[in-house]
Amino acid sequence: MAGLARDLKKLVPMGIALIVGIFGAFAYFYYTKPTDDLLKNAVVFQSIVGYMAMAISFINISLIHGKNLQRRRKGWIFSILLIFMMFFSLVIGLGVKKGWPSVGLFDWGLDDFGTILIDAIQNPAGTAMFSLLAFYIASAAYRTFRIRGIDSAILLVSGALVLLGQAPIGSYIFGPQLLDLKTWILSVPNMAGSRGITLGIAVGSVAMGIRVLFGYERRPVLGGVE
Amino acid sequence: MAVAKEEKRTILEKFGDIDRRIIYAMVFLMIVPPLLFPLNLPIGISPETSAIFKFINNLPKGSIVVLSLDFGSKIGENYPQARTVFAHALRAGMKVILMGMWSYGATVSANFLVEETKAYAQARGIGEITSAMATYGVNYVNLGIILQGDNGVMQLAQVGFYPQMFSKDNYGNKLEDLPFNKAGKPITQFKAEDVDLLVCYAAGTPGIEAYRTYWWATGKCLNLAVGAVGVSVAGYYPLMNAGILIGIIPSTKGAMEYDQLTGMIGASGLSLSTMDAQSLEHVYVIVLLVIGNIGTFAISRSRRRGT
Repeated sequence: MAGLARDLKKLVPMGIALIVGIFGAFAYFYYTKPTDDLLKNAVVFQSIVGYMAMAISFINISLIHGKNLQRRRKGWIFSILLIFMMFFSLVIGLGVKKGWPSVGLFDWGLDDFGTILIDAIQNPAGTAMFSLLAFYIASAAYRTFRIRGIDSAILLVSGALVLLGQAPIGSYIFGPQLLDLKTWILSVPNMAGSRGITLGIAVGSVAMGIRVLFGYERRPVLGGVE
Repeated sequence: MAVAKEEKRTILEKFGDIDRRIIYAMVFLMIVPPLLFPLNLPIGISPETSAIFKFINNLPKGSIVVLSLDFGSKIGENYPQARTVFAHALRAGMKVILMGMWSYGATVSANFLVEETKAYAQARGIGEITSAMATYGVNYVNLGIILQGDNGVMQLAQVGFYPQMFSKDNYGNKLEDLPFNKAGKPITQFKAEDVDLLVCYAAGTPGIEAYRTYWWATGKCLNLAVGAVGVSVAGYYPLMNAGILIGIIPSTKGAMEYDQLTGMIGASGLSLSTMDAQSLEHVYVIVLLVIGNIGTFAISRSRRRGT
């Protein structure tokens, strides 16, 4: 009995994945009114499942960081901050109204508070993070872009040309031809490499999809249990 | 106790290992002066940016332009791109739909976009934009967030804008109450096929890939363009060359190029001084690359000689 239950636990999700997957692919490539209608409903159902996952993740984060706090694990102070901000943002979000997006459930008039959070915290913090990138990228480029052979030399020269072309000073010094050269580098050699990678990913995705549909790849449906 | 003898290095060898604090200090020195004392370097126009400008100019008045604000900050590279295209589209007589898959871009940034464009047009006396923005819901609407990202974009293509995806706009107005239409066809009947141009301001995923898969590949909307952040610009050129994208606005420089094309300097919210700072930073990085490689070469040469 226990064996049957264990087998069903594996077979039912795989069966559902197989049927829905084949139906989805069929309805995408061959149009019929009933399958199209069913697919549209399936897409809406997928949204609903997505929202449920969001609610579950909210509970999950609360539990994980609640345990961090309870057991005083390393960095527990950040768990307090995370839990507080998560619930605080939820309350603010539910109460937003007036001129800002009125997606709130209640008219608590908290939109000013939300605006302050955005103007005084989120925007300056975002700007600071962006600004730091200028410093880190300069340092990282200096340390990593070293010529070790012909390949890295080509990479360095083409990178430098694109870098110059992406700033006004490039065309100011070398004329509009530099812009054309930059566009050529991005359109021709870059495209050749990029297409190869993209096609490889596409073929790999199809192969992976077939493996999942026919039960050869069990991890996605069994939550990591083989 | 034996003290390790410090290896004597030449200046060229020292180039290979500059202290990162010196690198950071030099970045600061490269960025701040041009912001205070602008060089006003001229901006060259990239063909990929002008392609979008020309495309909008060639669309008949009243065409639907969708700006998908798929980024997470008012600051950065995508917001200025969206501002300048929004101003141009309104001035050219287009009807603009604002929406997005990223909550911050689609809601907060969209509000800033509307307010700042309105203020810019009033300050510069650009009558076409001021009159286009006089009444909300006629020439532009702000639909807010496309819930469920990629999946939402698929639903827009399959079931249309109304009512599953958008029953209300970003401000809580019912879509059926809005006068927004395309040649008499109300927004409640809009489908992806009614969109004449979609510009996706993509900071990452979900982004233009969703529109490419569900709008372009299904033949529902064949006119896509992208406003790209600097690090992902290179990845969009294959799409443009394959005819999937009509154009690309690359980074903040692309936004400035677009300002130049429209003649509305400052419509993006950027000034030439910011571009000057970027120029000097780029030159500085190239100088660092050269110095670093000279250092590496000098070190390897001295090792070969056994000194």
